[in-house]
Amino acid sequence: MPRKNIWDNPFFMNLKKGQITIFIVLGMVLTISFLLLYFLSSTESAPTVKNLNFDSASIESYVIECLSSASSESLILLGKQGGYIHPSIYLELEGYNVAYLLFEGNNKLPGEAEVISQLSVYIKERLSACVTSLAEESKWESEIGEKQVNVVLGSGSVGITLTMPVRLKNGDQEIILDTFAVRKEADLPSMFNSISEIISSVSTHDGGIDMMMLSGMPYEFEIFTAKGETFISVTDISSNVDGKPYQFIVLLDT
Amino acid sequence: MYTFNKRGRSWILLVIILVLISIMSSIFVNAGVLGDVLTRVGPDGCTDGAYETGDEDCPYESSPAEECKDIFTASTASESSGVIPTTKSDSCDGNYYVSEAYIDCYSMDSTETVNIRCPGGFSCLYSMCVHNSGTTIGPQRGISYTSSGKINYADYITVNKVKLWNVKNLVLSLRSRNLIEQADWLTVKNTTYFDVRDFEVNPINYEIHATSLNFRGYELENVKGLRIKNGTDIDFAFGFTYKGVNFGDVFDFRINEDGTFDIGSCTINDNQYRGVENLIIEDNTVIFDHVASLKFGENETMVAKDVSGGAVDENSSFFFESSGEIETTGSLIVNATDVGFYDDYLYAGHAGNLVVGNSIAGNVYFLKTRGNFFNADSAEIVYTDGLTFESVKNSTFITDEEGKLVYTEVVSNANNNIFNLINPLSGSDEYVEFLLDKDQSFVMNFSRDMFQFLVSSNSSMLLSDGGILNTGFTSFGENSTVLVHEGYPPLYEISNGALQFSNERFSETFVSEGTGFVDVTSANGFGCLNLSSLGAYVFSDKLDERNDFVLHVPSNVESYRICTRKTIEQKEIDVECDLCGIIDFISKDIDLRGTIEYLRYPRKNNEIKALVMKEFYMGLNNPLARLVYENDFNVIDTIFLNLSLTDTPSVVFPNNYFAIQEAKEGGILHTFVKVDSTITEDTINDVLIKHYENNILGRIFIDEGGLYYNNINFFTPSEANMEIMRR
Repeated sequence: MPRKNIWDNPFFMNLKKGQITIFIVLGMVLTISFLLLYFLSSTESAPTVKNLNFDSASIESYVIECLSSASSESLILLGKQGGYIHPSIYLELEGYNVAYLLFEGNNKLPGEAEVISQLSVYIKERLSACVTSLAEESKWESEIGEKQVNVVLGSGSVGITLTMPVRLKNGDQEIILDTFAVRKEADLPSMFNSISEIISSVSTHDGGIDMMMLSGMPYEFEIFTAKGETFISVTDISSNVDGKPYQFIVLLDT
Repeated sequence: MYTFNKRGRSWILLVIILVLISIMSSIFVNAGVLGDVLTRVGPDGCTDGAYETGDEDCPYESSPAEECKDIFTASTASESSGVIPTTKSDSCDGNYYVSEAYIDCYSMDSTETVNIRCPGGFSCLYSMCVHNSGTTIGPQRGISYTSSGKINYADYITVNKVKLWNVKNLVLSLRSRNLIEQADWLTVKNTTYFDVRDFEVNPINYEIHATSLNFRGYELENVKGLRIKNGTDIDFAFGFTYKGVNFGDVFDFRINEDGTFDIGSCTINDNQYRGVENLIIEDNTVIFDHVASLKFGENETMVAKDVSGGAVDENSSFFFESSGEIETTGSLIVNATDVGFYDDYLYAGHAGNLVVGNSIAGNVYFLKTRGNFFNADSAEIVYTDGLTFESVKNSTFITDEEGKLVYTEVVSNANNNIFNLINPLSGSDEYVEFLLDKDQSFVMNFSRDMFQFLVSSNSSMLLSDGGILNTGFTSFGENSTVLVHEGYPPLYEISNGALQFSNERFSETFVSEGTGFVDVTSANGFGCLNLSSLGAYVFSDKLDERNDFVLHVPSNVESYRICTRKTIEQKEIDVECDLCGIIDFISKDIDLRGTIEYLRYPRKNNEIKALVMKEFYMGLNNPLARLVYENDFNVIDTIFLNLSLTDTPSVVFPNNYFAIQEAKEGGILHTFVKVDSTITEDTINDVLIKHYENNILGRIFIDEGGLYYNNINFFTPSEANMEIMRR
């Protein structure tokens, strides 16, 4: 049976050329608007110092935003790179250094302490620019103490606490802040446990992925290969890090 | 002047008449007119007017003047020298004396008589001495005998009208008339016979019969009807025995200078010879240089012609250096050399042609035949029962009375060896055509209920149903066999080879590393197959070879049975076994139980990528799998695995990227999916299946993009997959 041309549809046949052009332009505008909104909402923009008001809430919000941004960035990077911010054995893929979690038969998934340590260090690093900016770009007299980041991998969320003495003076007004905390909805302990099981199973079954095991886990799995290796994307759809479900990439040396 | 009166004239006339009679008698005697009956006596002094009737000659009388005292003839002695002739005749004086009349010529001739006693064994009968058997000696000369009647010597005697010359030590038989019981030697018609026993001569045709005699140095026995012809050729009308060998009906017998015999025709030990040259007898064996024809037995069960260098023993076993033709009941050997017959088998070192029943062989070496059987070390060609075999070696053929092949073992090694076999299996009208390639050889064994082909090197053969070549066999080297058992359909037993069925729609190949069985019909091809370890069933669709598939038996399985259903009329087959499968070409599904491998051609962009099939499904240990195809055998819609059994691992390869494996884990069956990370977008093959399903996991969806199950998505290699990282 010959396939029908879409323009043979009576709806289109009853329209004039000008009307059709309007529809096309309208469609393009809607598409561009949608894309703009999408990108604007999906990127957590760094806070700007210049617009800050000299009040405690604004300053605190600024720091928390810095902390949140750094935390999200760190968590995402950690997930994309298989639990490592700076993996020693990794494969570069799409700008990420994805760590081998199963390498030569060994499970390389980092432990909780190591994850915390990596996150703490990396968040602390990522905060530096933001904090420096607060000190240098603000018109206020500032005194910022040593930063200390504390990460807690809780059940259902990751808690990040920044201990950083901040003293700001604007004339005779003074704001003193010390501790900042954010929480990211990502159940890393559960995810790590599941991933550890998966790695162990894959290792035991010569690269075979247990469908029953995976189907029983509360994640979405996407398995693909690239550069001669197997990747498992584990996505916790119930999580929310930076507005997106948390994704963890497992690289298997199969 | 004297004058005679009437009485005086009468006396003168009488004297004249008597003188004339005397003169006339002398003239007649001298002329031999009365030779048979009148014996002119002389030169013993008797006058010419003395003679004896009956006596033939008496030159060696004891006294020449007393002639003739021949006691073995009845004679009358007459003399006419005197005025008054006198005559006296022999007579018997009692039983043993003969009153022998003779002519006394000492002075005046006179006739006298004397009584002579007959020799022992003789009696006086009919005025002469007659042997007690009734045999008469007849006219004789120079006879000497003993008192017992044995004739020591005689120049000749006439026995029952047959004159025997040079008789020595002759004893007449008492058993019958005319029989010479023995004689050292005697001569009959210029032929001398020595050491004769029971010697008889036919007085009319001079045929000789004797229990034994020595003839020209040859001791013959049971001589019957010997007759000399033309001085050289001899007939033995009823034969003789020589060196223990019985000759019968011997005609044109001639003894050559070298002591051999030429015989026009004869029978020896019931075998009829014609045109025999240079025959001798040694150790009861007839040896000859040449025989024009030789018929064996009274029923002429075998006839040989133009035979050279032959030897035939008393059992009619023989050896011929060559024979132009040998015909037995149902067989014919032409231009044969080194021909032998023993133990009821006929042998030949070589034959130009051999005909056995309806079978014909050409240029045959070292053949052996009997009845409808023949065997040959080699033959250039053999035709039998519609078959043609070329370059045959070490082969045996047996046909029935109608020429149907009932058993054969054939080794053939020829270039382009083609032959047709009218399938003799009962109930089948197929015929088989074999095509062998260059330098290939095979052994064909055939019997009433099966035929077998043993192929000794890599080769292929085709079996046809008359028009379309539809069944072929390919050997895998040594000990490769095809064995067809009688039945309908015929059951083929294959060892170390491959049997292929082909029609216009599809072909099937049955590969057997060990020994496997398959029933084949020309209409539908393979029915049920018993595959041995490492055996395989190969299906090839001639319309679309993407549909081709293979079922292969792994090495750890001893045998696997597969049945096919190809017609609607054929009822569906139940699977009731641990190691078996059903290929239903009607409903387009395959049930596989147990350890078996299912292979397909790898495809790329819907085209066959490589001509080596790859595993699609591997039943590793007793799973029950059902492959359900789409409209044809191209794409599998679903493979369903029943995993209710305790231990049912299996592997499915939807393409070269995915592998789905069932395995037991902690007492629970798990489904594992494995991907080959070395496969790229360029090297990945098409998936051949849409759904994978088992009774525990449920259904997995598969397409070219990936494999999907609930929260699990496997993606085939693609640049688009990088979006996952970019999220």
